[in-house]
Amino acid sequence: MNLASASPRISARPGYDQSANAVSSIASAIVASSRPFLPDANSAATTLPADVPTTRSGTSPFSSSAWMTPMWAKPRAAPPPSARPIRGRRGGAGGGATIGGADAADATGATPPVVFGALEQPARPRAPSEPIAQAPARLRNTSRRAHGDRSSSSRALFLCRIRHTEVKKLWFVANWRVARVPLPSHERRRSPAHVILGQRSRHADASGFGMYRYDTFDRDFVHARARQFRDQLERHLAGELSADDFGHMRRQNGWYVQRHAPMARVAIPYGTLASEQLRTLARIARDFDRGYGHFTTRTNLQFNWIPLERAADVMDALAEVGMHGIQTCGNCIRNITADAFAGVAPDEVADPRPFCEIMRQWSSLHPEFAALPRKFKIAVNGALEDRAATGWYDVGLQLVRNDAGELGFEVRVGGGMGRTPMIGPVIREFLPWQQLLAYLEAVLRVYNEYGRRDNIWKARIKIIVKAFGAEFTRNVEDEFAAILRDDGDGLAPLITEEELARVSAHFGTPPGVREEPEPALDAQIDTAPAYRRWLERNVHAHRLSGRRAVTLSLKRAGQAPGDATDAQMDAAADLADRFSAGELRVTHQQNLVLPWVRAAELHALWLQARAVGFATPNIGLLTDMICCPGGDVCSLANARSIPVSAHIAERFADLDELHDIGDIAVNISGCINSCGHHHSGHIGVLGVDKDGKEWYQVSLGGADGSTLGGPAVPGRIIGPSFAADEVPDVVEALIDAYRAERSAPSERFIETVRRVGVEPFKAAADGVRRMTALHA
Amino acid sequence: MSAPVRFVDGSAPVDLVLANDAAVASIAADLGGVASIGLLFPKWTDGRAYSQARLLRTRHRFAGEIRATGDVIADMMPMLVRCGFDAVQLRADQSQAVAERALAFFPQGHYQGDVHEPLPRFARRTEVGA
Repeated sequence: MNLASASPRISARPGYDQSANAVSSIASAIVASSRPFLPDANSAATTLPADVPTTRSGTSPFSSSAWMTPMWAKPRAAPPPSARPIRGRRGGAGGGATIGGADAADATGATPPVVFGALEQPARPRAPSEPIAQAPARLRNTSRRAHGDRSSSSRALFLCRIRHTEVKKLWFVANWRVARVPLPSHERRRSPAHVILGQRSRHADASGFGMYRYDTFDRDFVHARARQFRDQLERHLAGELSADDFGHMRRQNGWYVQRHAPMARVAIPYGTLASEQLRTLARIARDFDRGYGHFTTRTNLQFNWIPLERAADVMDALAEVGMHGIQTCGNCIRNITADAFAGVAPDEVADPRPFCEIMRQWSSLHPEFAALPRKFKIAVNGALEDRAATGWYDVGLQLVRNDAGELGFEVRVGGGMGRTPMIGPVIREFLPWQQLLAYLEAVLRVYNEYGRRDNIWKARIKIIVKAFGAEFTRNVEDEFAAILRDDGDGLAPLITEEELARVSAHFGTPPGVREEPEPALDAQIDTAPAYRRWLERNVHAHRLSGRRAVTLSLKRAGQAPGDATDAQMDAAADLADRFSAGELRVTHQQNLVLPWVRAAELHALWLQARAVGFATPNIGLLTDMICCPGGDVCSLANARSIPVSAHIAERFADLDELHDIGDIAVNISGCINSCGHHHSGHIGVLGVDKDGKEWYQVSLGGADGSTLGGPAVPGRIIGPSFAADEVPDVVEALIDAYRAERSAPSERFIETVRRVGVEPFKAAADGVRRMTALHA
Repeated sequence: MSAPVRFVDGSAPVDLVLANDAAVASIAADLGGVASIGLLFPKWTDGRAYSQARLLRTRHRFAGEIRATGDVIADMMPMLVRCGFDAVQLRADQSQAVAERALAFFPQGHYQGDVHEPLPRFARRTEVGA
């Protein structure tokens, strides 16, 4: 494709023949079953995502080239007095919620903070060839789970596309799955939980609620926190508690002050939601907010228009369904995130959710770590593929088994985005799971003592990890040893087998969910191309035969990425009840997942999901953008990221073209706080403020650590910032350059960038500069 | 966790004041004759003294008084007490009544252990699956 012709245009473009993705799916299918799963890629042009109905939120997506303000971003009534912008300017500098930073030069783009490979990257244990080599060790134990035969029908599980999974890994997963997956040790029947809970089921894997259910203590705890917050709020409203002092308290309950009104951030621990919880969120959106909420990259839900005076009522309503905003903001241990496919993925070493729940409890109102230098985020991944972006977290935990087959964690510390993007180095190759909390206490104590408090941009743990290097690790290990040796009786901080078994018993497989024969393939295939595309992009493999995980796309024309109206939340809750044992997950890509769908009901689900606007078949494609709420509502943002994402989506409305472009992650942040994870985008867009105007820095080649993008790495900035209305042109030029440069339709965008380097892309982007034409 | 806590004004001196950025281990050998230690909160959002107090109690078994001084507000009381402070010198504008009330919001206790209740909830539960 001629780069010079890369001018802005909206019409469908030539150049696709077969979907790259369809080709790889077919290859996978051949590997797994020797017959193709999907028919040849549909080559008929579809100009619009036909299965995206008009929703009542958002403006017409194809209306004009003018900057579009989503309806929700426009106050429908005069903001309350408390809703005045809290800062006189739009700049984020000095804002309260920021991620630590380094030298200002890092943020200018003059010197890219990290180039490929420059950051030390300890080898992950999941290199593509490695799982196969280790599989025998992992498979040494046999389980009682009745795994099926090796017939093609059982293998059909793998015909369904596994997101971000290469063919060779698919092969491994397929064989690994068929070759009997050992139960995690804590799920074995001999474990204490099954002595206690044995009456529920003799089958460890079949027991459990599917989700963690609050007991009376948990319920009393969130109600107590709501009462405490109400007391603080009332003292503040009565003038007895200063705005400054109260600010720290409300933040640790999830209340930020935003541009127009406070923002409430509700914790969704490890992204797991029950349908009744989602209905409560819908009701809050309807009764207290303006009828919508925003799912975030940290799998939380944000409301943007709740008056502070009603904050305590909202907390009470949340507490009724075991939800809260505890520690979703502020300088404390934040809500813990995990792989959205935890507990259902076929490539799982162990289910991370019990550990997430144990850490949720441990971190909730931990007295020693209530006033850290800065926020502190933990992510946990239990699968072979890192779907939790663990490299990007203050602490990233990867479940692994050692040579003896014991379960533990590989511990990364010091990752983060912001001004100083860093991938956390591995500071512990194997930490026995029993010692998890003790080790985290050691990390946090070292951070609490040495973390910088003199400069908010250098206050994250990554700064001391980088500054002290091996000495940091030594400090943590010394502290860890002292905790085990000197503190208490030496046992208190250890997780017991009993506790892990008790918590694990909450998860497992929900009642009513069981393995079943794979339905005949032919019966699954609707002739509608949209359905096949949906199967290809939105349906994921499952550890149970006859089951699938299904992504409900929250990326659809006319609505901001991650937004959902109250009616949509109710509809998603209904779908979860009907198709997924009442459970949903929130992904860090800002979509929802139904984890327990029967393969036989996929078509029925598709019809219903499509009717309510959740069936856009774009998961992992260009329009599946990650995007923060941006300057429309956020007082920290320099730029309005939502309109930018809307304009990019408008350019790439053609599904054939989207599928031809294939897997790509476009991540957009409105400011350097990186809520839109721009650093890890294959294409990253960052709003920056220069002379009070909005500009956009574009970076290339970032990765979140998933199989598709390879090891986590920050993207490289390609030249000076672009003007707002140049950004869609830039993205289009980058895509055109990719299609010109790719060696084969199967080579993905990120692979082409890695192979040919950023220069051809930089040249293509510079070619569409107008306002920012280079002088040099 | 309703450990006794004493509200003090600035008139009674402490034996030893530990700087906010000092390592507790550096004075561990000299704790023998010390009856009271003052720890400082330069800002109430600076939580280093929480770790210092906890280490003094848990690791070094310091049994004397640990006093919170500096920018200490009523809403810090639960954290202070749980980390081992037993004397509190509130900021001048703070109400002792509010501080006492702040200790009463969590009668059921907490998830994780602290200096008064060394065991986390899961280890002290008597009835599994409550």
